[in-house]
Amino acid sequence: MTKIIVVQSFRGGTGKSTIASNLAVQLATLGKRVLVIDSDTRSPGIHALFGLTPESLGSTFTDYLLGHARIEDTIKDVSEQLKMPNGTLSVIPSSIILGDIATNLSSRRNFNKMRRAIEYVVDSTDVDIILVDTHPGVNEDMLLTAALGDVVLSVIRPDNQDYQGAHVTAELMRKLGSNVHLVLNKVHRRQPPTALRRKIERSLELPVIGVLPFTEEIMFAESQYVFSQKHKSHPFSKKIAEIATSLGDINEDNIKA
Amino acid sequence: MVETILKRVAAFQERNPVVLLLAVFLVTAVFAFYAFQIEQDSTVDSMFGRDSTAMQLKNLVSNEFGSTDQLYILVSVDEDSDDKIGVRDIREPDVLESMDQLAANIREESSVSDVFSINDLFYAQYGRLPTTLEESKQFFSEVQFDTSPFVSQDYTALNMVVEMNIATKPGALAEAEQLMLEKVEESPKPVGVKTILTGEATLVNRIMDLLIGDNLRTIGIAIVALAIILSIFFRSPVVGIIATIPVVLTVVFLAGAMRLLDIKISMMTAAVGAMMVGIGVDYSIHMTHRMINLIRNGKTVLAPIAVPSVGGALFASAATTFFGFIAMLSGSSPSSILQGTVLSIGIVFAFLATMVTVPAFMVLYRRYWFTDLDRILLRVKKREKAGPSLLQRALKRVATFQGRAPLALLGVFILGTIFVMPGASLVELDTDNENWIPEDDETIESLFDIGAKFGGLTSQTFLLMVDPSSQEDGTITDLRDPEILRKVAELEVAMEDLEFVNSLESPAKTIADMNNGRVPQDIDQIKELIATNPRIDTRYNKDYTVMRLSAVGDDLLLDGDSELAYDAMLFEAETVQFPEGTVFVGQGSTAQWRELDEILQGDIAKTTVFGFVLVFLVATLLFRSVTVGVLAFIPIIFALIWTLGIMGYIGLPFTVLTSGMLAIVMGIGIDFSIHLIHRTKEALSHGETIEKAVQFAMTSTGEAISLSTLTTMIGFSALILATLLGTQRMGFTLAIAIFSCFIACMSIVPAVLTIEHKLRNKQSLW
Ligand SMILES: Nc1ncnc2c1ncn2[C@@H]1O[C@H](COP(=O)(O)OP(=O)(O)OP(=O)(O)O)[C@@H](O)[C@H]1O
Ligand SMILES: [Mg+2]
Repeated sequence: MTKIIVVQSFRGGTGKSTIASNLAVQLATLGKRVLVIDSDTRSPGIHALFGLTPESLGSTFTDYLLGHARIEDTIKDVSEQLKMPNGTLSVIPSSIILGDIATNLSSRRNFNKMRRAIEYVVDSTDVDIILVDTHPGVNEDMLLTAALGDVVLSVIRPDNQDYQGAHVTAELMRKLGSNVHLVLNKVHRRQPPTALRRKIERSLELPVIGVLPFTEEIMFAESQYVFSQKHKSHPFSKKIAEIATSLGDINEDNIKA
Repeated sequence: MVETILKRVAAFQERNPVVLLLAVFLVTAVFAFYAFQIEQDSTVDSMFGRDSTAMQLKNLVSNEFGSTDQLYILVSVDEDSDDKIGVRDIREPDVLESMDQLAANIREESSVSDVFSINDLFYAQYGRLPTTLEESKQFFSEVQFDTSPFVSQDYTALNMVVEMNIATKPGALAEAEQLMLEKVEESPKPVGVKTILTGEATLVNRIMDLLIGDNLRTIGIAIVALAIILSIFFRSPVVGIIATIPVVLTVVFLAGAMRLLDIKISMMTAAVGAMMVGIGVDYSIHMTHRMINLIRNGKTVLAPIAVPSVGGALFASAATTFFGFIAMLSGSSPSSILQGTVLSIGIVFAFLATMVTVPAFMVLYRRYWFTDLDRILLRVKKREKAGPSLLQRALKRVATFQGRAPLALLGVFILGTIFVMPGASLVELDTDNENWIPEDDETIESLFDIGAKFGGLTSQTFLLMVDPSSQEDGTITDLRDPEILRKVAELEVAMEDLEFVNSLESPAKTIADMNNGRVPQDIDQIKELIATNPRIDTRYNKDYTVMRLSAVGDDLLLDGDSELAYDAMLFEAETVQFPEGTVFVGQGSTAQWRELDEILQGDIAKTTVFGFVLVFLVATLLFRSVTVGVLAFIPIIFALIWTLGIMGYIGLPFTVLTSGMLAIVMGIGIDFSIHLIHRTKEALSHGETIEKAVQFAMTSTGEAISLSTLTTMIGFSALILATLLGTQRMGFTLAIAIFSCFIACMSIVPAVLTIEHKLRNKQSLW
């Protein structure tokens, strides 16, 4: 069974794209075939982390939504660029052309296309895990993907604004019947991770699946590569690997619960 | 078997909804083509069976004596006209002149046998028409003949009697009348004078116009009302419309099928459309309800889940209703048989239309209209723990009581029933014309006016016939027999004594007049007299085995007391005692309605009993349990008593249209109890206690039944807006009946189920 993981946050810049790309690589390393969908058509960006340039995008998810491309033509195998075994990692990027973004914003959207795209991947490819990167906040795309996801990873920073956002998200996910896990990102080394985790779990009544340290080197990487692939022994990478493992372990049973 | 078919259908619906709907569209187009050609049967005769005595007599008369239909052309001073130069006195020579031309014009028609007016009296006496108003006034006052049939006492209206001679073919009279109408309108007339054509045919035509208008309007109103209610109920206009479509299709199919089966729109079938709307919508509500819930819960495959399960339940429901309607075929009046036929066909269409179109439309709705976002937003917006609806809470309270004190509840109900029951004996059968004659209609009022303004225009025909079944040696075979004529003369005296009879027109009088006031002793002498006066012959048929007698009066037919007058005349005939081997019968509408009364009385009993048996059998077979059959039936019996009781107390009678009503009610009402029993038993089989099971059934199925009662009542109530009393009464009766079924089923079924369950498990009932 293909597992659908949606990475989401109430506010922007929490690290969704960073976490999604790192998780993708780690899951692929664990031997899963992974597909990353950039559903953030308004502010796409995850392609950069996989070394794709705007010119090399080809048919995009935006094209598919606009009805200009078939979903099967938007899938890009990036295993080679990332020096992974063939067919293990692919991406459906979103268009970075202003015209496409604007057109997509203004056109009457067919809200069933997101589901159909995922149904296609589930039914017609051998992908094991679909990772969906989303636009921040509560919006149509996030709702459409979150409702489809087996697991929703809600990314928050140790910040009151994020907590309150997470609260809203949590209520929303409960209504949608989604299985939500929190990922705590950009935690400063002076904030004790275990205490922080416990506090958040108690106040938000949601499980925290991982606590990721604030990592200056990620900033230096300028989103040009996937950090955990290059610096395998860095604490951030270790934590990402842990999350990947536990995501791989979340099976149907605890998803239903 | 049914299930396998349903599964196949469902798979196809899921895959190719568009293809299926296109096919439906084509079929609908074909039916619509025929539906538009549906014919009207504008004769009152259609209410009487071909084999009824009334119809046989009518045919006999028209075969032996020719048609006796009359039309009247009323020429009157137009009070609404304020024209200075307009005619103020109907005796103006201009008016008489124009009438003369019109008469000449009309006489040319082959369908007209003769035209009579005041002019004929003037020609007879003066050999010409008056030329000045002065002269005219003199003519009017001095003419020796009886002018009352031709001029009103206040000289504001003249009457022209047109005797028609037309084939007995249905519709021929209406056709001829249409022609007459054109002639009347074309003919030149003086300023300030208006002419109105009227007569029984006009009356019937007018009624048919109203009826068909009623028919379309009530269907329209019912459909629009349902579309609105369903849109609200399903919280989506699109879904509301999808749920309404099968009903529209049913009406189109039914109209088309009626055309193909040569069933015409008549007084009896006109109300069926709105009824079908009320009944058929239940099916589509059930199907739509299940499918929209699947969609809202995010299911992407719909038909294969919904169609087999809902389809099975609907099949049971349609089957019982169908056989309720079939029971109407056991009646002997055409209205019962026609309604039964049309309704049972309608049920099949309603079932098919729902099963085919709703799933296909809903699959498309899911695909192209209802987006994932709609569903998600619906869930996000849903208020936390939206409690049970007001109705559900009320139902739950009732159910709790039913579970706790079933006997008390049953007791109260039976007490109530005993209270209502006496009303049932008050229910009457009303075959009066008032059911069909609308109020405030000019054409129709003018017909009544004729009775009031002019004298001697209405008559009641009687037939004296040789009875071929009681022929012995020596009995009379020729009605020219002196003994017969003497008796007829006797009758004449007796009848003319009645204050409402002006004269009894018979051969006896004329023959006696020709023979110094006495009927001759010898039949040959009578034959000779008859040979010299052909007018006498018209009172006999060719072989002199039938004699036609007409009692002429001022207001014999149209007056509300016509029945009393008729009875009085028949009574006089009985006292006269005609010789052995002859029969004396009344003919015409009063006699017809009298016979219809008897047929309908029989029909009510017959269709009800048949309905009982059939519906009970079908319910028992469908659930393979006699207990279920009996349980399902108990509330229906109560509902019938209630309906009759209420009808009796509010003075709502049975009519031609409602004589088969009880069978209809059984067919529809039993669905309620079947659904309730089914749901309760289901809950019991899941290990619930009887109290919980009853609560569950009442809040879930009970809510559905409430909606279904509401929509069915809307369909029926639309008939209350009809113009004709008969149609209104039908709508009202059905609405009461369905409501009684609802109340009875909702109160009794859970109580009886509780009692049955507790008895079986040897629990205390208290
Ligand atoms: N753990 C971390 N330590 C330091 N910097 C980080 C960390 N995670 C992400 N960043 C940096 O934060 C910025 C935002 O990250 P990213 O683009 O992944 O966030 P996002 O949630 O996808 O943003 P958006 O809402 O705009 O899509 C980037 O510059 C990224 O390099
Ligand atoms: Mg991002």
